[in-house]
Amino acid sequence: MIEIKDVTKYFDSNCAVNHVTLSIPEGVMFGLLGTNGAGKSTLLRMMAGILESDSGKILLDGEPVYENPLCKEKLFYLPDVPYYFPNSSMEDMIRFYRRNYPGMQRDSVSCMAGQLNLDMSMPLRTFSKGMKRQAFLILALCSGTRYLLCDEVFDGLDPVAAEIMKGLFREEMKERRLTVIAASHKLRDLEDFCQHIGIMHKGGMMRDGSLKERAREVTKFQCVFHVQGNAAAKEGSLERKQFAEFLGDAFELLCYVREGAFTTLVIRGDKEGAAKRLKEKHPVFLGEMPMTLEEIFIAEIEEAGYDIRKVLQQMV
Amino acid sequence: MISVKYFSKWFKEAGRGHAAAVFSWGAFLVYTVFTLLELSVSAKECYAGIGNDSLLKLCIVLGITVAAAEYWYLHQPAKLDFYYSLPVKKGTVFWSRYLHGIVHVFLPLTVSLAVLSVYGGAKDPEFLLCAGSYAVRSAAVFFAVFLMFYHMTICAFLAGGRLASVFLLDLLAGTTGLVVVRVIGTVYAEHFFAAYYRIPAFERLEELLAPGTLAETLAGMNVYERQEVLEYVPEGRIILAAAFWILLSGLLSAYLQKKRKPENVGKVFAFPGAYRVVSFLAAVMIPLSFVSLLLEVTEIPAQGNAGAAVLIAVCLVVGILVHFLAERLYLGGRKRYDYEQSIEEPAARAPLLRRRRGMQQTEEAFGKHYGLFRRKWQMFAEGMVVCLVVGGFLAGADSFDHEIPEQEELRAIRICVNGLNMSYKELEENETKGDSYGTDRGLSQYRFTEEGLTEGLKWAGMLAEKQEEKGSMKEAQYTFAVVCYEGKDGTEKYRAYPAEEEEFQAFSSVFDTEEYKRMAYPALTWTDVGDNRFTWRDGVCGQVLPLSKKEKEEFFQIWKEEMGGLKMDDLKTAAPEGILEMRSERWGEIQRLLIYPFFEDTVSFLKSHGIETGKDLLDYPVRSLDVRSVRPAGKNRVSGAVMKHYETEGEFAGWKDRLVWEELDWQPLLYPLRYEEEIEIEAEDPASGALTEVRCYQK
Repeated sequence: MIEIKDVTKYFDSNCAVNHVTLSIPEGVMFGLLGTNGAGKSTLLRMMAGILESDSGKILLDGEPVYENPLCKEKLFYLPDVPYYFPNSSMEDMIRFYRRNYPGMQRDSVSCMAGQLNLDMSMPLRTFSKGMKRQAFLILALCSGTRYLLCDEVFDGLDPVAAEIMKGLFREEMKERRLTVIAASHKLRDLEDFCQHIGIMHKGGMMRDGSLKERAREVTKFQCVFHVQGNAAAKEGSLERKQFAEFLGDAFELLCYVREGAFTTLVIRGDKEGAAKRLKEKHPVFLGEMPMTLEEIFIAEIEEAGYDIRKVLQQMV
Repeated sequence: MISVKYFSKWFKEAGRGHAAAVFSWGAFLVYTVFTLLELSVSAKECYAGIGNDSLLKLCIVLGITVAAAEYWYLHQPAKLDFYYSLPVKKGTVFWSRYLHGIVHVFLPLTVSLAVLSVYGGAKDPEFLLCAGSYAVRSAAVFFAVFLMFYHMTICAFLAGGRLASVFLLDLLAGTTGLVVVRVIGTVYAEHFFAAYYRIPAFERLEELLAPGTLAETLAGMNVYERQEVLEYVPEGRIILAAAFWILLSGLLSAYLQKKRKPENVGKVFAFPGAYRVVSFLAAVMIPLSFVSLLLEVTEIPAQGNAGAAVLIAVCLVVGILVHFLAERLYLGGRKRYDYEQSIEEPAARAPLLRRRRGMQQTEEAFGKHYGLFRRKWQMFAEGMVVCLVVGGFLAGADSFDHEIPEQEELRAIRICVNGLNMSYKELEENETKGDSYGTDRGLSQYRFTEEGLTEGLKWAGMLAEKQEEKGSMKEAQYTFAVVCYEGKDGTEKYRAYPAEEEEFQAFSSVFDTEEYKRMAYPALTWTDVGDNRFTWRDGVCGQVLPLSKKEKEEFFQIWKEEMGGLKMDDLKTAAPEGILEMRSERWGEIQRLLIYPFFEDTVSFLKSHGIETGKDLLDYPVRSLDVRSVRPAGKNRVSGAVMKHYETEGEFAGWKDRLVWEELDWQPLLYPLRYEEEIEIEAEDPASGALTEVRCYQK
C-alpha cells in the first residue's frame, strides 16, 4: 500500500504539489489525472524516491521511500521519456535491471517482446518512439516489483499495441497483485483501465477514489422540456442558475449544457431523488445516460472553477 | 552489508562507457612511451616524476576530465531520474563514481612511474640509488595534484546547474587566487607603494590560493638542480596547503552531494549560495581588476588622496554595474523559470502576447524578488570590500614606504645597488619593481650581518627619508637600490628606493667595509691557492701564469691586500686592465680577480712574470674593427643603425687607447663608457695564433 500523507513540494516559490494526501491500496490500477503542470509527474517522482518532499510523508508498505534502497526494490518507475544507455539493447537493459531488481524475469521479457515483434538484440536507439515505449513497458512489467509507477503510460502507442499492453497489464495484476500508478493527462488512456483515479489540479488533489463509487455519486440526465424559448436559450447561464436553485441544496449541478431541444445535466447526489425532482418540471423526455471517466473528470474540473475549454483542448 | 553490496555493484556501473578509464590509461600510456624515449636519449636531463612539467599538466587535465566524465550525469535530468529511481542511495552512485575515478588514475600513475623509474635506474646508476623513493614521492605528489583538481571540478559539477556555470565555477576556483594576488595585490602594491619591489607574503598567498601555483610548487617545478629534484620533498606548508585544498573541496563535495536537489538541474546554479558567492566575487574582483588595468595603462596617480578617490569612485561604479548585471542575468532566468512552473499549459503553446502578459503577472506576483535592489546588503558589503581594499592600500602606503626596522630586530640586511659591480647590460635590464635576475643575484650576493648591517641600515634609512621628500620611484633619474630586511623571526621585507648620484656616492660607507668586499669579491675568502691554475685574460690573450705554488700564494696575498684597501672612489679613476682567472683544482670553481691599474704591487708582480697588463687591445694584430651605432629618429631623419668597418692600421690609429673589453665594464655608473656604440674587433692572439672576436666599448 502506498500512503501519501500531506505531501508538499515547492520548486523555488512555485508550489508543484500542495498538501496531497492519498492512499493507494495494493493490486489496483490507479490513474493520476490532471492538466499540464497539475503536479502528477512531480508526485510520481516523489513516490519513486527521486525527489524529496518538502513536507509530509510518502510510505510504501509503511516505510519511507526516499533514500531507502530496500523499499525502492519494490517499485519500478517508468518516466514519460525512458532513459537507456547509449547503444544498449533490451538485452543490455535486462542485464542492468537484473542487478538492481533481483526479480527481473528475462524469459517473460522475451515472451512479451515476441508478442509485440520487438527484437531484443537491436539497439534501442533504432526503435521508434512507440516501440521504445513498448519495450520499457515490458521491462517494467517483468521487473518483478510490486509497484509500477508510469508517467504518460501509453503515450505513443498505436491502438493495437495499447490494447495488447493493457491486456498484459491486466494479466500481471491478476497474477501477482501488481499495483500500477499511471499518470496521464489523456483521459482516454485510462478510461477503461483504471479502477481508481486521483484528479490533480494546480498541485492539489481534487478528488480521489473508486471509479464505480464516483460514477454512483454523479448522474448524467438528458431531458427535453416543454417550454424552451430562444430567448431563454441565449441566457444559458441564467437558466443554469435557475436550475441549480430549482434542484436545491440536496443536489449539486455539476454541468449544464443545452443543445437545441436537448438539455444535458450532470448532477451529484442521490440518483432517484434527482430524477424525481426533475420530473417535477414535467419534461417531455427524461433519460439517464452512462457517465464516462472523461465526463466525470470534466465535471469535477468545472466544479473547481477551471476553464473547461482549456481542459478539453488538452485532454482529448 | 547492503551498502557494500550496492557499492561494488555501482562501482562496476560507474565504468559504463569507459570514458574515465580510456582518458586516464590512454594518457598515461602516451606519457610513459614518450618519457621512455626521452630517457633513452638523455637519462640525466629527464625526470620521470617530480620535476616533470608534462606529468604535472597531465595530472591537472586528468583531474578535470575524469571528474567531468564521472559526474556528467549530474547534468542529465533523464539519467539522474533513471539512477535515482533505482534501488540505490544517491550517495552510493556518487561515491562509487568518485572511487572509480581515483582508481583509474592512481593505478596507471603508479604503474607508469614504476616502469619509468626502473628504466631510468637502468640508464643512470646515480638515479638508481634513489629511484624507489623518488617514484614513491612522485606518486604521492602527482596524486595529490590530481586530487586537488578532481575535487575542485566535482564541487563545480555539484554547485553548477548548467555546464556553463560548472565551467565558470571551475575557472573561478582555479583563477581567483591568481587574480587576487597577481592582478589586484601585486599591481596595487606596485602603484600605491613607492618603495615596492616584492612582497613575499603575496607569493606565499598565491601558493595557498591558486591551485595551479600550488601544484607547481608541490611538484618541484621551482627546483632546478638535478640532485635537489631527485631528493625533493615539498615544504611542510606546501603539503599542508595541498592537504587543505584536497580536504576542503572533498568535504564541500560531500556536503553538496547530500544537499543537491535533482530538480535544480537546468537552473544556472544548483544552490542559491553558489550564485551569491559568484556574484559577490564578480562584483568585487571585476572592479578591482578594472582599476588595476587603469593603473597600468593610464597615468592616474595612485599615490595621493585625489587619485585614490577617483579610483574608489571608479571601483564603486563598476562594482554596482557588475552587481546589477549579475542580478539582471540571474533574475531574467529565474523569472522565466517561475513563469514556466506557474503556468498551466506549456509555454511553447502560449501565444507570445499571452506569454508576455503571463511574465508580467509573474513579475507582479513575485515583484519583490525580481527587483534589482533586492540584495542591498550584499551590494553594500561588496562596496565595503572594494573600498577597504583600495583604502587599505592607500592607508598602508605611508608605513610601507617609510618603515625602517631597528637593527635589533634584524638578522641581516641585503642590498643590491643597481649599477654597482655589474655590467651596463644588467643595469639596463634591472627594474625597480618585481623580479629582475640581476637584482635578485645582487640581493643573494650582498647579505650583511656585521658592520655592513649597521652601515647598510643607515644608508637605507637615508634613502627612505629622501624618498619621502621626493615621492614616487618614477622620479629617480640616476639609479635605485633594492633592500631586503631580514627579520629575526624569518620575515623578509623588500623595499626599492631611488638614489641620486649623491646618495649613490654615500654608499661608499658600506662599500668600504671589509664585509662588503668579501661579498663583492668572494676570492678574498679563499686560502691555499697554490694548486689553483691562474690565467690572465684581457679579451684577446688567455695566458696561463707559469707560477710556482709559493709564487701563486705570494701573488694572491698581494692582490688581497690591494683589493682589501680598495675604496669606492678609486673605481672612478679607471676600468680594470684585465682579469686573472683563478680555477680551483679541487672543486673546479672559478674566481675572477679584477686587476686595476692602480693595484701597483699586483701589476708589477704580473709584469715581472711576463704579463703585459696595460696592453691596449689594438696592440694585438687586429684584422678588422666594426662599429655599430643606433641613430634615433629626429627632425627630417629616420631612425636606423649605422655600421662602420675599419681594416687598415691608419684607421685603427684613431681608436688607440679608447677601447675597453666588454667583460671589464664593471662599474657603469662610477666609470661609465660610451654604450651607444657596439664595437667588435677581430684580433689574433700571438701566443696561440687564434683569431678572437672581442666585443668592447669606447672610453
